[in-house]
Amino acid sequence: MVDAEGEFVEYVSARLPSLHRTAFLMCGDAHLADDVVQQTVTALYVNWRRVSRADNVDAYVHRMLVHKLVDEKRLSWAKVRLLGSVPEPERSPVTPHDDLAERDSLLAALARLPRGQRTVLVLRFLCDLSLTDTAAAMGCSEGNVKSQTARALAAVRQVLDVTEMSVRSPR
Amino acid sequence: MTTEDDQRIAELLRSVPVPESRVDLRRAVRDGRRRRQRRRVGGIAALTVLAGVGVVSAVQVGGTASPPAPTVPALAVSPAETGSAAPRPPVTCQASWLPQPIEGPVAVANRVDPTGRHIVGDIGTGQEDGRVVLWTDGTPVVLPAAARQPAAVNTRGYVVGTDGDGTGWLYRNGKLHVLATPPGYDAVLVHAVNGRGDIVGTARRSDDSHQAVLWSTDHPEKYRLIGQRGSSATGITEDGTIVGTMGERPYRWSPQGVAAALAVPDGYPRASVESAQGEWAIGMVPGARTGSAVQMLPVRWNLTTGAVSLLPFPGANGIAGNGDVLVADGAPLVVAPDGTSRRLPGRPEVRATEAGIYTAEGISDDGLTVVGAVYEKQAYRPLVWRCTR
Repeated sequence: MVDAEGEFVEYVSARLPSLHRTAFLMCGDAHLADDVVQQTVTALYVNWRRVSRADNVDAYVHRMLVHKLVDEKRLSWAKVRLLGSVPEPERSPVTPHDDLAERDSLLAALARLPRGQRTVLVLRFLCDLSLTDTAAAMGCSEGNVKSQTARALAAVRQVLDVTEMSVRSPR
Repeated sequence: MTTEDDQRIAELLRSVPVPESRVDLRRAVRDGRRRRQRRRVGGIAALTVLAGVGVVSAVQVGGTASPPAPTVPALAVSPAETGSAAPRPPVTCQASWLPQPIEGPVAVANRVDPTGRHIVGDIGTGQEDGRVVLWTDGTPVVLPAAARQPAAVNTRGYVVGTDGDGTGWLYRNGKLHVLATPPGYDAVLVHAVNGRGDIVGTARRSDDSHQAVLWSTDHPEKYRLIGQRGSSATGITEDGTIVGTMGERPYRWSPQGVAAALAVPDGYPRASVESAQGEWAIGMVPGARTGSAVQMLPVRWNLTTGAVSLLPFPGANGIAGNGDVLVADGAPLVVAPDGTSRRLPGRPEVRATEAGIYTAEGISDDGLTVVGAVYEKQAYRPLVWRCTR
C-alpha cells in the first residue's frame, strides 16, 4: 500500500511543473490552471491504483486534465481561488531578444485560438501525445484533431513568421 | 508544415514563461483521502491505506528536513505536538448528531453562526448535488433546490452561498433571493454574512479581473463595490469590518470603507485572508515548495493590534471571536491564542480509530460550538460539538 502511495507522490511531484504548464497554456488563466491541476491531482490520488495500471499514464492524466478544464469552465465561479491575483510571468534576462518576442507572440497567438485548437496544439506539441491519445483526451475523432491541428498550426505559423520578419529585418 | 516548424513550436511551448504554480500536493492528498473515504470503499481496507498515505506525503511533500517516524499519522496534529504544556481549560465538550431530514451518503455541517444556534450544511451523494440544510436549535429545514453550496449563516439564520453558475443567493425567512451580479461582471463568489445583514464576496469577469462587493440582506438586488479593481472580500465581522485581499496583499476595510493593508509575516511574499470573526482573522501564506508544489501555511491576524502570526498546524478551518482556531486535519482540535488546546471528543458509538475520520468546518463566536461530520460505515453524518465552561 505504502509503495503505491509513494509511487503516486513521486509521479505527481515529477509531473506537476509540466501539468501546470499544460493547463496554463490550454486556458491562459493562472488561477484556473492552478484549480484544474489541483483537482486533477486530487482525482488522480483517488483513482491512483487504477490509473497507475494504465498503459500510458501520462495520456490518461492529460485526459483527466482536459475534462477538468471543461468542467471548470462551466462551474469555475463556485470554486474558491487559492490567492488573489495573477503573478507576472518570470522572464529570464539572458533570453535573446528575438526568442522573447517569439514567446510573447506565441502566447498571444494561443490566446486568440479557439479552445479546441489551443488544446490540440498543447497536447500534441507540448505533451507530445499521439493523434489517438489526443483524440481520446479530447473526446473527439482523430479527423477532428487533425483538422484542428492544421488550423491551429496555420494560425501560429503566421504569427511566428511575422515576428521573425519584424525582429530580424531592420526597418 | 515542416518538421522543423513543429519542433520550433514544441520548443516554444516548452520554454514560454508561465506563472508560478500554486498547486498544493499535500492538499490534494488530503482532499483525495476524504473523497476516497466518501466512496463506497471497504472501511478497514481504506483505513489501512490512509495510515500509509499520511506518512508518505509528509515526507515527500511537506518539505520537512527529517522524515517522521513511520508510526506517526503525519497529517494529523496531536495535542502533544502543538507544544501546549499549559493546563487544559476547564471546558467539557460533547458531540451530538444533527438530524437528517433527507437521505444522502454525504451529509455534513459546514458553518455555524456566531451564537451557535444556526448551523448550515448539505446532504447529497458528494457529487455536487447536495441540498442545503439549515438547522435552527437542532431542527432541520431543507432549502429550495436552487440554493447550492452554502458559504455562511448569520445570527438571524440567514444563509448565503453561490450556485455552480456563479450566482449569489440569500435565504431569508423561508425565501430564496438572488444577489445582484454587478453590471459588467460575469459571476460572483459570496463568502460571508454578518448579523447586521452585510454580505461580502467578490465579483469576477471572464478575464479574471475582480473586485470586492458588499450586499445587504435587506436589498439583495442592490450592491456596492468595495476598494478598487483587484480587490476581493472573503470575510466580515459583526461590526462590519471586511477582510480580503488587494492584489496579493491581505487587506481590511473599516465599516466606513477605509482601506488598510494587513501585515504579511516576515519572509513571506504574500498572504490571503480566509475569514474573520471579532478582532481576529485567519488566512494562508505560501510555505516550503517541493518542485512546483507549494505548501500553504495558516496564519492568524489580530485586527486590533495588527499582529500576524504563523500557526504551527497544517491548516486552520475556522476562527472564533475569542481567537480560538479550529484545526481540523485529523481529529478536530480547538487552539486558543495562548496556545492551550482542547481535542474534541468523538461519539462513543463511532469506532473512529484513525485520524482524519472526523471533519470540523465551522466554529461559533465563543469557540464553544463546532460543526462538522464523521465518516463511518461508508457515509458522512453531520455532527455538532457543544462545549461548556
